[in-house]
Amino acid sequence: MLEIIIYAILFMLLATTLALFYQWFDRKIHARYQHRVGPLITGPHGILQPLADLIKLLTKEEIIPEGSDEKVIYISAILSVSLVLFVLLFIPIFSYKGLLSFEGDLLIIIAISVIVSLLMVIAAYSTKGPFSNIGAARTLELIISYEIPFILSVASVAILVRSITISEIVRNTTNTLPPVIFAPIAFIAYILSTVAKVEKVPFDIPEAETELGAGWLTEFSGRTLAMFRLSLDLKLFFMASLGAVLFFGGTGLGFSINPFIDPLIAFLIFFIKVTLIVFIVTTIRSIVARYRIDQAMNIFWRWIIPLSILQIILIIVLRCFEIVQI
Amino acid sequence: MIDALIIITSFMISLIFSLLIFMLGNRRKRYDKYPFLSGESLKVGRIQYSIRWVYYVFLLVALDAAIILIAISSYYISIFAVLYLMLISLVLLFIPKAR
Repeated sequence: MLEIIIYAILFMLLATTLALFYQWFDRKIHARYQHRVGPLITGPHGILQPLADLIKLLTKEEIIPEGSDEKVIYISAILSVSLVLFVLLFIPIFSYKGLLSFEGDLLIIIAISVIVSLLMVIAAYSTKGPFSNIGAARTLELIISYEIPFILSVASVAILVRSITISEIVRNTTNTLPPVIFAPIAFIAYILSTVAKVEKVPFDIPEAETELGAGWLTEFSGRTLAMFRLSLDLKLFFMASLGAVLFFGGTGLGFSINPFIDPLIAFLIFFIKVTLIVFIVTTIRSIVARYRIDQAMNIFWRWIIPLSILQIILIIVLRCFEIVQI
Repeated sequence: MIDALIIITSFMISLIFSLLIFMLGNRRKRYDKYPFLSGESLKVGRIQYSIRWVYYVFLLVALDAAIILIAISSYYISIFAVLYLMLISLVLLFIPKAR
């Protein structure tokens, strides 16, 4: 038990570090797309900038606007970070198995990831600011748009691999072609859902800064804002990690070199796959302009959901006729 | 039993970890007499939207999470996946029209 506690703490520190690293990576790549240099001053190539931003927000004075429900905001802020950290424990980073693993853990991950989005809505509704309220309403509208394609894309891989346990999915896809080859539409749906889930352009409608200030985050300050920002960073890392596990085979190496080196190689493979997914997300946010909420809903409901359903039907056909051997 | 204990412990650790980050922050806070962080003394304007949206989203999410259990836990029999898709399509038909 003590071993688990120590590993969990170390893992959470690593996850937080990686989340901040991917925020820096995202900002740097986004800046390069716009012919800017991006973060540069803090640390080598500005790599410590996200940490500096987090510390700055944490040390700032907090302002509670009149009429806000303070307790609900605090609980939402703390839970939104802790729940993402908790689901990250299920992601295998150093081997085919995560720190936590049990039969059907994929379902728990999906359910908790939805709760995190709803926590942000609840927090935003707890303030009286109109920007927060519009942001929260937009988040709700976006949730019903991206949540179904997200679950359908995860279900596509689960049906393809015939497992709802992450460790089994990684193990089964290690020595075969990655599931993204058989489920490309599901991968596209997953990436678009990721962009919407982490509120990046073109689906950053809940916090559209040119329209709503900071959207649902407008009335938060100090450490509450720091927690929500950290939660969004962790969510990006989590979604990219889950994508790497489901569509690219995660840490799968297929053969053993040395018991001491294997975890490091597994981590390196995982890191490259996650970086690739974050790069795709950043590229999308750099080259596409923001949609209006009705346009975003149209994209998901008229195109992505029917295509995701088609993908599932295709996978069912592939499985029924034993065309795919995973 | 041990698995459940490990999961609960891990969740508690993640909760304590995030609570620590939160507690590390500046505890000084100021209660503003205005409803906006910017300090403007404007009237609070509630946004006109239907509460049915909120109920609908919660219903959809609850149903989604519940039905997926039936859908992909029985991945050997594909009829459950088809059933899942049919139920989701049914839910989509009930989306509130007015906002």
